Amino acid sequence: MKRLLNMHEAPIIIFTIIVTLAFSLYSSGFFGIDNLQMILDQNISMFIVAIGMTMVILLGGIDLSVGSVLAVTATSVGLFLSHGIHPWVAALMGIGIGVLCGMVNGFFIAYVKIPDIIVTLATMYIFRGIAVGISGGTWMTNFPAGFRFFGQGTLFGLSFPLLVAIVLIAIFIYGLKFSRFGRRIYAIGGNGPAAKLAGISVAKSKFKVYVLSGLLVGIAAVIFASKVGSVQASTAGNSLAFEVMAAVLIGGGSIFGGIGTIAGTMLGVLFMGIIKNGLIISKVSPFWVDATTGFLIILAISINTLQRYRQNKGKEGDLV
Amino acid sequence: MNAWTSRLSLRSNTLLVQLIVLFFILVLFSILSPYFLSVSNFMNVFNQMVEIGLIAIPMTMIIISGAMDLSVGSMLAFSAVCMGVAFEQGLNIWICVAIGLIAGMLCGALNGYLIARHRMQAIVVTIGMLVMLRGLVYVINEGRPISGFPDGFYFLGQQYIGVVPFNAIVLMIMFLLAHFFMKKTRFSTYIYGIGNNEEVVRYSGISVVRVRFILFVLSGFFSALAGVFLVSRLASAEATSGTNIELDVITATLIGGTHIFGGRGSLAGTFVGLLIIVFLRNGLNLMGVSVLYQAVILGALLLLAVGNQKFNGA
Amino acid sequence: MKKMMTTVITGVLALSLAACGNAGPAPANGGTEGGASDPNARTYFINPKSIGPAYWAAAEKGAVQAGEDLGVNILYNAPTEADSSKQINMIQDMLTRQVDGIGISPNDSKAVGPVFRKAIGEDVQVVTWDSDAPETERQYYVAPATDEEIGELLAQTIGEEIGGEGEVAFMVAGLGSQNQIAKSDAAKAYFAEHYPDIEIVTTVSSDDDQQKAYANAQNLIRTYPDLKGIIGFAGGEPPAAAEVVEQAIQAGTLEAGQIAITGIAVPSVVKNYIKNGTINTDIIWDPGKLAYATVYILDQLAQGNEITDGMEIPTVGTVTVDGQSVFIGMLEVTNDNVDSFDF
Repeated sequence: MKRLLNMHEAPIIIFTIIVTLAFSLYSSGFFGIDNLQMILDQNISMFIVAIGMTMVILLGGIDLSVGSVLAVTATSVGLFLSHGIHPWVAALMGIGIGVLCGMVNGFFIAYVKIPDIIVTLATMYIFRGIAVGISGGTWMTNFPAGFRFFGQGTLFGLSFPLLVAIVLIAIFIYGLKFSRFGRRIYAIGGNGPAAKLAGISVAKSKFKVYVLSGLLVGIAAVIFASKVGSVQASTAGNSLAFEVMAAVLIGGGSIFGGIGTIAGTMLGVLFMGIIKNGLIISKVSPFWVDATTGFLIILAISINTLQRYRQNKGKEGDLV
Repeated sequence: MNAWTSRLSLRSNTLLVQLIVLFFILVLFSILSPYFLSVSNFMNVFNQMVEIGLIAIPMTMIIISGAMDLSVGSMLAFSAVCMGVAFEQGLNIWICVAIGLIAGMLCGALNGYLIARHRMQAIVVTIGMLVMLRGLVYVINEGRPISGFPDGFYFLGQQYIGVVPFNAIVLMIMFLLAHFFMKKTRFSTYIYGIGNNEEVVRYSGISVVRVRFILFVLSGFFSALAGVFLVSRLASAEATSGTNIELDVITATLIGGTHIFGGRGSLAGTFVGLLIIVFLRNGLNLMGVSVLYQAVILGALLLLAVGNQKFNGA
Repeated sequence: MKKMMTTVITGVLALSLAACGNAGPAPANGGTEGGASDPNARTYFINPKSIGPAYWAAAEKGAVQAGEDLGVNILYNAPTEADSSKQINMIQDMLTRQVDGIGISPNDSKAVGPVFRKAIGEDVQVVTWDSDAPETERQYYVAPATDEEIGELLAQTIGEEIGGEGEVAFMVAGLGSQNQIAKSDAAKAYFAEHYPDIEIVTTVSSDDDQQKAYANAQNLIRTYPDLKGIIGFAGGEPPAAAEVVEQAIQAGTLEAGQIAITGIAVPSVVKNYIKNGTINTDIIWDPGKLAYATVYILDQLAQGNEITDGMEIPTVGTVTVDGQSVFIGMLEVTNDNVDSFDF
């Protein structure tokens, strides 16, 4: 089991190391604890959202609406705060709104049985509209000092958001691997009809996963708002869905479900973070940053696919 | 146009649903806005929908084959800017158009090579291409729009033949050709086959790799063509053109009844889906409805129009 | 049968949705039909670059106010993203609606040429605001100042604050956006001429994404330890830079006052940073007054009146008219006056 897991994430680990080495050689400021800390810090919301996305993709689904859910949640937290609600209550209410959005997605996907991509494409439009609508077009900013704790505070000498992320990652890695719920997700993603015949309630599991995804996006949104210090409803989290999806797939996930791990996804997020940070630190021309990022994504996924293809020729070769 | 779509609707119930939605939208806006129901407004809408429409043709085929291409907007911008840069080098404009089209096909070929030949996941590859090509666009022209094309070139996007815009005529011809192609040729059977059961197609001795490859090259070509028409219509090649166009294209395709998991769908449906979203947007614009509400309405319509289809095993 | 039912329901819902969109309460931003309700009154379409940013929401209030004062109808709308082809589609739709004048803030100065020609041909008044399209047939351009002047003022501000030498980084909202290029080029030229010892180390773009702007600022501080100044050329950049600098100061990795920040930002967004002293000077103009002036100029043109230098526009004040450009002037926001702005 352990060996299989190692094999599964091997390509992305190796590629991340190569890229890290390249950046370290190229720029003296890159390799160091404080820069690593900064990369982690910049991608906290990505890490948390990616946990949910991994489960969604494991089910064979897709969630395009995460960016809009983030915008709705962050905006409403901002609104609560501006009405003088206590930061902790506002944060909890915001997370509740994230869960609500997840329930909307989950309801249409699991019980009305509309394909994931259509529902989340639609809710992507809808939630974004709601976010900008409730914001009244103004920025959410000038948060009270107490709210800063969520994005910038420290606990036991560690950054609070990082701690939250680590705890969440640990819970979900454990949950996916050892809990019945986690095994069901793999079963459904691997072979839906078979899982159904085995007596698993596909709808219930799907609904739960989308609610969890909403919850995680809600948490990420609170951290996002607190960290960045201002929220613009029309653009917050605009490219989040694509970036997180890319991270999951770079981390070894399959868009067809059933394959992938949270650990792999986290490596995928880290990989994307390293690229973004490294390209700027290496003083690459701003015009080249996006082009290089795209190229490295394709390269990462190529290595991944080729490796997997070689390893599981018989098992998985037929998938596109 | 109505003749051939209604003939089809007898065969395809889904199409009937879409047509009724379209009809509702047309009637609704005719009542709500005095400016909606006029030849000039309709021609205006047709002129605007060409780019989305052109890309929707290969997108429908790709989705039917069970894949997806998210890089179309970036390919559009990349070809447009390649064309513009070539023009700045002093080449004849029609040679530049050819260069733009070739650039699009090369991007499509790269997509196709990775996805078809190396069996990589279409979504990831095309997300990567989306980021990379958009970046390359900035590398090529440093983000500055290119303009000053000769008047002859603007014919493509701005001229009207009688009352009908020239580019809309091109779109219609393309749709008719593609429709015929999807109904009558063996190649289209392969596309549907791959979408339904790729293995069976492969065991029938058909090169799945080749079919997929051709589809992605087509996607590149049509994106580039859309880029050419867009540059002609706007008289300017911009680095930002085509941003998020993939969402419009996919929305039109899905409203048009193409099955997201592949295997089912039709170009006639896509065409109706396209009309639905462009008329919806136009009507709401005429009424002065904020784009925020437009986004919410479009999302709700997507859920409603597509949500009532049966999705087996979904 | 079931399918037919769902179809009908779909249609009805679509109907009611669309109707809601129209009849619903006027949203605080975007899509408002402000001003006189008289159907025979003149109607103007005021078109910002996009809907959502606080800047454009503030402009909308001014446009609606002008509509009420002048007794004309105002349609204020734009696409959600600053995309030129979507913007032009919307302008075309508005020409179909037979508005009397359009006030456009073009995303691409060249691309609006054909649609402006069409508008002029249909006897529609055309004015650009906030961003210009100089090579088109637009009648007037309403702005706080030229992009060059704004860029130079920003460069001058930062040059003075850092004492004329050191490393400066630019933060822009988009590498491809015309007004960002014009302003940053002007700043660059100003440095070359007046402060040869200032080195522009890089230009980073946020693509209008707050989180990306924030990460960009973090990376800048890390990459260039000797960085002395940051200029943010769009509304989202200065607050992101200020937030990062404040956090770095709190964490002890940066000394207060080590990095000077200036830029273009709405006062309400940067209020706290100005009070904390992270930003000393912020350059802005009142977007509401800009939109107000745009509507006023359009209305004057529609009535056949002339636009003259030094003319008085109610609530806006005296404006400078230079050729086909109308300038309302810039504001410098500092700790002394930051509370006096209501936008």
